[in-house]
Amino acid sequence: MSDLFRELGQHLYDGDAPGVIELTRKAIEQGLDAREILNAGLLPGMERVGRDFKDGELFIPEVIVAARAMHAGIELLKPLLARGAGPASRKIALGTVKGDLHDIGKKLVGIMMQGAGFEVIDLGHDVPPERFVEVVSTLKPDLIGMSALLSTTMPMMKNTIEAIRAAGLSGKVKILVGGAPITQAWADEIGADGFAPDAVGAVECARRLL
Amino acid sequence: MVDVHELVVEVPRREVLRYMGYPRTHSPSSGVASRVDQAWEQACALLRPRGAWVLATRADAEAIGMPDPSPQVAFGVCSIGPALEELEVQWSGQGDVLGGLILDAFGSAAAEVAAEALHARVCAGVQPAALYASRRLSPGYGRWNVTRQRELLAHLPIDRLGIRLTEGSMMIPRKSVSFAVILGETQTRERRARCASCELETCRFRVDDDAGPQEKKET
Ligand code: B12
Ligand code: SF4
Repeated sequence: MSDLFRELGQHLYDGDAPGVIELTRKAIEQGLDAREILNAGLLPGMERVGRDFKDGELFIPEVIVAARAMHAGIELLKPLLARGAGPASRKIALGTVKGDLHDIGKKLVGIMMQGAGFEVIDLGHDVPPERFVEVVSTLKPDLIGMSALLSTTMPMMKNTIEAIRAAGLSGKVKILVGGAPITQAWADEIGADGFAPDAVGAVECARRLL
Repeated sequence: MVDVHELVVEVPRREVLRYMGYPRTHSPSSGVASRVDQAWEQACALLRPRGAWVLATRADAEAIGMPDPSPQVAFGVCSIGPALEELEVQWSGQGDVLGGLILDAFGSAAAEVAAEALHARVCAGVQPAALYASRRLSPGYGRWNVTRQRELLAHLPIDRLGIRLTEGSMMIPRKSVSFAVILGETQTRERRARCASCELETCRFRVDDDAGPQEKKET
């Protein structure tokens, strides 16, 4: 069994989605618990990917391919996980703030979040504060992730946080910020709950906050 | 009327890889490399690199916030056109994040090469007047606020280039570059990589200063 999990983790690390699907199916057919397949097979594989990315041994494209393989495995486990008593998957709504058109970084954060088992709502780019507020009150995500790449759009993060506060929703959602010019100091200044410099860090930060 | 130039753009693979996140010392895995190869031809076919430039005065330059202008300056803008971005949106919409990243990186590298090609046109265009062009300076870099881009572009035929500005003064198509150059009577030997003078020290695409000059690349 541990061999199967080890192999599953390796296929995931290699970004081999068909291999991950095949082995996840095999594990399910062997009657293994879905949560165990996730925790002992898929997640350790993805954690290794995250570690090697941090250490500069893997790069964004390989991480994307691995995250997609992870996602393929999770899709098979989802119906089984939902049946169990475990917690429902966490939801994050991601958007690039109003005035800003950069969205490749935010998309990468989305794919990593998905790979880590989060449900991702992608609001796109040029997202005004009102839209974030509307999403928090209607779709009730656990987290909001805002991205900004321009010094001129960074203040829009603050405006959005203020709008969420003014709508009485600040206790209801955790707020994560990121993008090339964003720093921890800026996140603290505007009252965001978390900051991460890259997509792998974003997942770690989200987990820490929940 | 200001001329619109068709620009010849050959996109260096190494630059695309850099925008995809690979440092110069690392190559992509074989799976990723073959995806890049597959997308390459299609991406090249979708490029429509065009640009325009104009001569302007110090007063024009000061009026739009350009730092330290010379008596004569040139303003330029170029774009790779909308088609590559449209395919990127399509691929990303289908959940093909890697394909989207490749096209995004390809577009960024192409926009830079287009800006270089337009810059070369400026250099050639002012040579008969015994003027030399400095390297490019764009609104948003250093002391030049990015919101001044709108005023800079008022000097250029952006409608004919298919460029429009958003409320926040960003250009659409996104893969576009606007810039100004200082024109001097003596040639300045400052073909320094912009990274060396760029203030964004945490930039993950930064080319380190120890790299040979051929490795240096500006964005
Ligand atoms: C590539 C690039 C370009 C390309 C493509 C642009 C595009 N929109 O697609 C080209 C060459 C065309 C270009 C043009 C311009 N650019 Co430009 N560009 C860049 C560059 C080098 C990289 C951006 C990028 O693609 N990053 C790739 C992704 C993967 O990284 P990322 O977005 O940072 O995301 C990661 C993290 O930040 C984090 N993250 C991101 N979002 C989030 C969200 C959350 C919640 C979390 C936790 C984490 C997180 O995780 C991501 C993945 O690891 C940046 C410098 C930089 N390092 O950011 C300048 C930069 C953004 N550009 C800049 C400028 C000024 C311009 C121009 C205005 C210049 C000009 N006048 O022409 C034009 C504007 C074009 C327009 N449309 O109007 C400036 C902006 C400065 C400012 N004052 O605000 C920058 C910062 C460069 C600089 N040195 O100042 N640009
Ligand atoms: S450090 Fe500055 S010049 Fe160099 S790649 Fe980054 S944004 Fe471009």
